[in-house]
Amino acid sequence: MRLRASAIIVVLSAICLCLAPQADAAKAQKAAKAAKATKAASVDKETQFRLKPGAQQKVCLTCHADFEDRLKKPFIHTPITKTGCTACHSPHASNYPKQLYTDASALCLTCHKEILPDNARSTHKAALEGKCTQCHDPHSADNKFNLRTAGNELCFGCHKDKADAISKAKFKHNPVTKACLNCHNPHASMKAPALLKNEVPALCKDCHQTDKPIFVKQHVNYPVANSRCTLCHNVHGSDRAGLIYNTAHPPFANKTCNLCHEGPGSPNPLALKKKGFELCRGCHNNMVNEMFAKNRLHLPVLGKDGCLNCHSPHASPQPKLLKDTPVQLCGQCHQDTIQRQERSITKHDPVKEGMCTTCHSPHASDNELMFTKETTIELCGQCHDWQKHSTHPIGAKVIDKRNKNLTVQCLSCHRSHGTEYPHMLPTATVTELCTQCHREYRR
Amino acid sequence: MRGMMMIRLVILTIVLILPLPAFGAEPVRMKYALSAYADEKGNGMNQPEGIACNADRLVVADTGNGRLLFYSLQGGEPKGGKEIKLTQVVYPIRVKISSKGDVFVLDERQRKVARLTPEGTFKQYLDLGGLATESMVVPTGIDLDGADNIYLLDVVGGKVLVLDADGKMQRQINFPKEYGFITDLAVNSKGTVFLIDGVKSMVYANAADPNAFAPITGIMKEDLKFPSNIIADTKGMLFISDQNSGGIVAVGQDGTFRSRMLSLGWKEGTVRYPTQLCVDKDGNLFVADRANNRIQGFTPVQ
Repeated sequence: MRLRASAIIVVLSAICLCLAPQADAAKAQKAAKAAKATKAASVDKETQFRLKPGAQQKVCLTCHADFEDRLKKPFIHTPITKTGCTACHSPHASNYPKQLYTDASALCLTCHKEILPDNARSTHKAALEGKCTQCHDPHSADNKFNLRTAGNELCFGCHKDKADAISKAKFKHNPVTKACLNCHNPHASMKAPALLKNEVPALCKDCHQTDKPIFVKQHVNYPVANSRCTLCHNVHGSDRAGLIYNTAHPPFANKTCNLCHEGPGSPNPLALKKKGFELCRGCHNNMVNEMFAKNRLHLPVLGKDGCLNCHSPHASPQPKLLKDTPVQLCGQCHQDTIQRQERSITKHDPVKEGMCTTCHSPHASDNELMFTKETTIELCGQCHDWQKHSTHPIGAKVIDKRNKNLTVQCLSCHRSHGTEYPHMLPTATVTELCTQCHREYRR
Repeated sequence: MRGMMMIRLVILTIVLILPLPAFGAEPVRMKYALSAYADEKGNGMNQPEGIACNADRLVVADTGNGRLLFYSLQGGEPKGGKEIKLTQVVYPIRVKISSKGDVFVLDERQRKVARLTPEGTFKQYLDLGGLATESMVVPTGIDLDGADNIYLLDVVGGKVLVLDADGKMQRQINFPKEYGFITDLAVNSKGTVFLIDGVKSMVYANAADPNAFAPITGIMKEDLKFPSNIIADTKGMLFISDQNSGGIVAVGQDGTFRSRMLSLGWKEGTVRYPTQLCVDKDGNLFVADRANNRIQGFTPVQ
């Protein structure tokens, strides 16, 4: 039995030894055949289309002479070196600009499909819109990946606000100064929003060790290792040490966290001591009392998160510790109003600038629609002063002919957030509006 | 064989003849009927936000004037308009009438609910401070069921508080998970509670589980821009006022969209910033047309 097994092993080994060199030879033959076929195809094309010898690579340059120098750059787009200009451009005619085979926004993706995966959590707008050439030169470049410029300079070309903020910041985040791509992917991210390579805090923890004593001490012994770092820290740069956002809530800046949270040694240290607005009332009692003395409260004040619906409890890049710009913040609930003003033909300045609080009180008011003034005329008159006295008759004594219980004021004819018609009018023509009251002029 | 062919032909004919809407819910249609602008002495309303009705009465919360107006309902038409001005009620925004005729008034300035006699005399405030809740109760919505149990919207606690007719706490129902902002509640005769989410434009109900809310509609942003108030009638309908874009939306109590009615404007039959609604026994719909300083009535079209 043993003898038989040994014999089988010996025979199998012999077969393998014989076949191995044959397999290598087969591979080499295949490669040679492929090379021959490519060469043959190239020659075929030249003969088939009666091209001049070597025309495929060079004939374009006889007219497009400027490309001769451009193609001397260290990084050439691979299709040019392999196939030549006709890899992307039709030599005769095309339905697309620059004689491209297809629309420029889709052409790159025919080869580079992988840069925009279907299930990406975030994508770069330029990449999504197929504006690849904003960052990449399609022919040649001095930089790797055919990038038009190297390093952060490329990103800052569009993200000027970030560039400004980073350059002005007293304290800069070291990885940001080196390369945006330390934290962000250039095309898409499968894991996180804002093209981040990973979710926060996992991304931050690649560099910052949360179990180090210095980390624990800086965070006053609170277990923040799994908290979202960007709630308090400006990861690009800040004028405050520790990259804390420029506007910081005093109890947070003074590290008196236990004014709002349970103590660090308690069973649930991050829990808040009170719910909703009652938490903030501890310090901001006068403000809360003033709000409650008004006829109307802005309902989010009463919501589950109270003041924290709009304000950050720790730090914020916005004034008054707002969580976002006023228009973004108000737009979270009042999307319809924001959308209406975006569609509007005539833009109302405070609306255009996103300053909702120019006209509306964010906390409480005695007036309709949370206006900051008692009457609309007074409200609009803050900016449009001359129209308080040089205008169509308005005021408490002028009855609106459409409704005997209304008086004529600015909103009788205008919608302050805009309409699809000029001058924020509710009707397509001025005549249509005026004849609602002045019926005698109707045609 | 011929018989079978005939049957098939008849079925095919019926299918082709039946109008498409027969397979869906019938739309709700309303026709403009009336407007009321003033009290019995001719003093105009100012920003009326609340309205409630029963078989023979209609009560308006004339918010801007800090008063209530009591009308009698005759054939769906409000008559009279007696002014009720109370020191205990300074800024009424919502009203409800109990089966015994008591009037419940939500006062936004005082953040209290006042109970009045059918004649309009102040009886008492609901004892909100005495309710066993984790946080301070600031009611922002109110409704009553057939047994006069009181349902309060408690946005601070994120709950609906259910009190008995005497104002004693019965139970609490948490708002649904992932809600945007609940702007109002409604209760039908069976005691099912409906919530309207002003931010998500969705309706939730506790129909399946009395102690938990679940969505009964999808996001209705196309038809409902910023819903502020909701009521349930006795015929299986919900009416929702779309405050910012001026309209009323009808949704079945099973969540089926039925129709969007009215448009924004000043003339009678149009609305500006409509708020509370009520439906009388004949199905007439009354609207507090806040920014037009009036109330309006609409009759159902069969």
